[in-house]
Amino acid sequence: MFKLTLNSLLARKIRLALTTFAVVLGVSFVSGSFILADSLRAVFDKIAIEIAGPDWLQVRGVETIEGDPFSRPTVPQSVVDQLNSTEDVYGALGVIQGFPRISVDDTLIKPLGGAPTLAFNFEEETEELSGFQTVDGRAPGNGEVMVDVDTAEKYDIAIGDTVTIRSLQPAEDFRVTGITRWGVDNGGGAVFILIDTATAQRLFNYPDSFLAATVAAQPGIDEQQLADRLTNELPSGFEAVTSEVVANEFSDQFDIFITIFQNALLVFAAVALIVSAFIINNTFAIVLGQRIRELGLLRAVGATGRQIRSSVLIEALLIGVVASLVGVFAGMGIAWSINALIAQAGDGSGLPDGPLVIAARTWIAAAIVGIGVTLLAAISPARKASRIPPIAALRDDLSLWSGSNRRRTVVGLLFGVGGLLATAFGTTSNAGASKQLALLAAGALLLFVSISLLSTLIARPAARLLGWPMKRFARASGNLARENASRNPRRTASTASALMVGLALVGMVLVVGTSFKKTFSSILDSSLGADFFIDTDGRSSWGFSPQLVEEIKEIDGVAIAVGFRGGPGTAQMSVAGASKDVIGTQEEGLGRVLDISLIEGSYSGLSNDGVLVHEDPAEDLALAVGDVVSATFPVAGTKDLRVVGIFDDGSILGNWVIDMSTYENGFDPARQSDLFAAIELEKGVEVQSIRSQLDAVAIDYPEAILQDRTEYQETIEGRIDNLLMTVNALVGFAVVIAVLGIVNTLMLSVFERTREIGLLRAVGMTRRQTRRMIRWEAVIIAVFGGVLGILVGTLLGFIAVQAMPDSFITDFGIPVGNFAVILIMCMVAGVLAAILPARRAARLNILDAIAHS
Amino acid sequence: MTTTTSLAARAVDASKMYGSGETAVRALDGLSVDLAAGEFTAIMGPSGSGKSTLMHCLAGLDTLSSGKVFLGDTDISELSERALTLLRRDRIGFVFQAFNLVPTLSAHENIVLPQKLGAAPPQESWLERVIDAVGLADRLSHRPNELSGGQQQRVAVARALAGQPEIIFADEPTGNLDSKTGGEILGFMQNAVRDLSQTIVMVTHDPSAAAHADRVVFLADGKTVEELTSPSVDLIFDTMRRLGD
Repeated sequence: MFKLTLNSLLARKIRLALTTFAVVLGVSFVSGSFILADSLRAVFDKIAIEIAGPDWLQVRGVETIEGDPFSRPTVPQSVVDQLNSTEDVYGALGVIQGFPRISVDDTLIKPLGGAPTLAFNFEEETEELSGFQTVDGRAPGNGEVMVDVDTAEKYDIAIGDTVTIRSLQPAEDFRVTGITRWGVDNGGGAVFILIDTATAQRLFNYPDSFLAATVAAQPGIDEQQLADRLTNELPSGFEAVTSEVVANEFSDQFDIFITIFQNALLVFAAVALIVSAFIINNTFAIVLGQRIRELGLLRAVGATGRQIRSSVLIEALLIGVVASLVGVFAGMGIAWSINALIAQAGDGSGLPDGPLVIAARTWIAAAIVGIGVTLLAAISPARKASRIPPIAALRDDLSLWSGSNRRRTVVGLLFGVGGLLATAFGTTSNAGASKQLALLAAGALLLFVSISLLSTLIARPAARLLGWPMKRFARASGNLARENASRNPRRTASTASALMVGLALVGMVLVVGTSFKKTFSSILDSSLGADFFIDTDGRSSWGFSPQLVEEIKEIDGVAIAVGFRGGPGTAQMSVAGASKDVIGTQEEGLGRVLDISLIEGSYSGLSNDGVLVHEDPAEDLALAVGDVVSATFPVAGTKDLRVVGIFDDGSILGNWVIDMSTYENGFDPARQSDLFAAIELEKGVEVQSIRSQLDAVAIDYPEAILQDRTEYQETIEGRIDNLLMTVNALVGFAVVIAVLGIVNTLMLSVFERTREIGLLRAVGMTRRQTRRMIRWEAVIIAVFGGVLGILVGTLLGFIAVQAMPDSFITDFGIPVGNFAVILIMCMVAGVLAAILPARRAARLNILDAIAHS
Repeated sequence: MTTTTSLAARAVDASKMYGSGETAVRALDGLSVDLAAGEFTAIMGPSGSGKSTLMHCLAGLDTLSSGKVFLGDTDISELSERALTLLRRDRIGFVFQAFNLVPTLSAHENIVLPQKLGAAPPQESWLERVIDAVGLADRLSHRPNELSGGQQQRVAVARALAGQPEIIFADEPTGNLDSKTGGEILGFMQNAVRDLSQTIVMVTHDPSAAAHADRVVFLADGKTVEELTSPSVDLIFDTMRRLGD
């Protein structure tokens, strides 16, 4: 039986290759995600060890808010002095780390994607403890700087050049006195500079204090024991840890981001796999349908149904094994491509380089996924095949799939209802984000299967409708294409469904994106009254110097200039034991440049330890205007804030708004960059006339982008479009697999219709007409898939928009133009998918074809 | 049957080799034959005699290794693949043993298929006459799988006739039918030649089928070895027996 399986596999090389290829693509995405993530982890683990430095202890303040590394109090000079005079300590060095913006000739220096730009204090006499090595030149004095070797090379910076450093203070020029490097890898993509300690303390707001201290033990002293001893001896609120601990902390931080990244990729991989499963299932169904007489003969000569089933499953198993193996290697290509894709999107700044890592886990995942998906997809065709009666050997009219239409309908409807319930429950329940997401995913999957089952019912009329223009314009070939597409609804529906899955997700993403744009547009119209906006360039999360807003305030004709700091992912304060995203701004701008729809109270009083609260948390915490909230900040500790107003619109500033002064005191120096600013002009001042003055100031801040209302809207929409394109490029992988599925189905159909094509050719169909017939059939299938995808995508998009909080999205929009493009691309995809099968059909030897049975 | 009519097709010194070297098979061996227009010719011969090969080459479905084949005055041995396709579409009709019809098209659509593929549209009156003669007027909208085997072959003959081709080739047209239905089809083909002035060349190994023809050409080993005019079944049997020795 096994030999028979093998023979039947080898007898159908092309179909086998195409089926295997579909699995390979799915598997490669999965293994590619793992390979990329593992490779990144390896690189970042190395970076973490380097940042932590070799074998030294770190002395630092204990976190005042647990889990917030920014809440560590600074280390005063007195502690460093104490360390230096402690027995068994070889030396201690106070370390400052700042987040400057550095530019050369008005060009902002940009680190590799995601890596920070850093500034450290450095003195010649403590170089030994610093971890830095001077490559060229000498240590910086006042007004001088050392630049890291990679940055110097990339931006062509030489000793004697001038660089501009922007910090929390006004921009200052520094002369380059030396080139330095950090560890073996030079910080692994981070841009960094070294300045003298006094300047670092001034620029980054560490008066007579440091971020932490590096401590070297005397030779022969056990580091762990010294760390424990120091923690005991130091004033309370300070701790000493080994470099291993520090490295692990960095690793863990990186790991969070890598895991998110990996999981995002795996979501796309899952989509690709689902599509592969559709295609495998369809291919097996078609192939077994074609072999029905052969299988009947096997049954007639004594094979049991069970043997037939095993034979089919072994076939699937072999395909799965081969595809998994190939898939891992293809996954290396995927990992490499995604890396290149990100590098491209981030205009030059990619992920850090490193060798591709294939962990054992990757092989296991690939095997489970590749073999599992193939076997699962083959189960139902295998079961059907095992029920083929021996009489099938003698009859021409038996079909593998006859009579199950009602069951399909019932099962399809059940799945559909289940899918809708799951999505509805997922969007409305409060089970937590991950559970909700799982429900949504399961719902979408059920919905896909349901549509694929039910679309069989409409495949015939749909194919006839879509094929109508072809009958008109492509005459005989068009008509035959239309008939061919509708003669086997199950096949057409399955093939189109594979395309539907990918396109539904593309459609959903586009609907959400369009809705988001619409929401943004209405926010701009109703809530943002400012004439100009200042934004970061969208890639750096480090914001821009608060000095910019200060300078703009000085310009004649500017009525209000307000900066905004903090927000989700940047600044949290703790209220009633829970951490809350908070934004710092000034009361004078609220209600004018930016309207957050105050319900109660007023903006005034914000500067006097006030706080503005959104109505939802206000209700949850039973807060009213005049009440006092006790909030804990990383630096300032616990502070009492008075509720001055309660507002309705959380779409721009979130739920908690505090005054800039409260923010400045509450958070560490690293988080004192503005992320956004709005400018309102005095009455009568023309936007055009003041533009040049604003630009003259903003040009010194290359990390900030100054835009008027129209430009700002275009920028935001451009960013949304970019995001949509990235997501859709990843989903596009699934669409490519689906197009391969069309190739597969058509190849099988051409094979099945060999005699018919031979007849057509004999009675005068030209090769070109033959190709055209196959091509139009492909186009009908592809457009059918496209239409299904757009409909399901719109439905999913609608559900997604409903599920998202109002602070994020309120309006619903349908991207009509994009959908038109999708349909056109479906036609093109159909034409491309038809190339190979059409050529095969056109080149059939007529006599052989007619004699074919 | 008079011989004043012109030639519908002819093969001149036609040879066809399959394979090469030791294993080469000579299917046609310098065969020449004239096929008169307006005649019903049957080509007979034992398996491997080259009768199917001859028909395929005459019909432009296969090409000769050497020699020439003419359809009317056209030397089709010189034609490109595309020209051959158009020739089949515009000037030749086919009836095969089985699987004559496109399953997705109705009987009527099958009949006018060559015309839909680009051949000159049939004259309405002619088409009506053909359909009338086939006797399927009430089944025209049916798909092939809704027709009996005999009905399917009649549709095939109607398709072959619809374009008023210069010649119709029929390859064992009754091979899959019972003798009564087969007889009907043959009678119908006979009528087409007699009443509609068509030219039909039929390959068969069935003497009773061949007896419907005006002329029977016998092939053996790739050559013509005998021919009979307006033969009876018995005469054909005798000839076959004689040739078989």
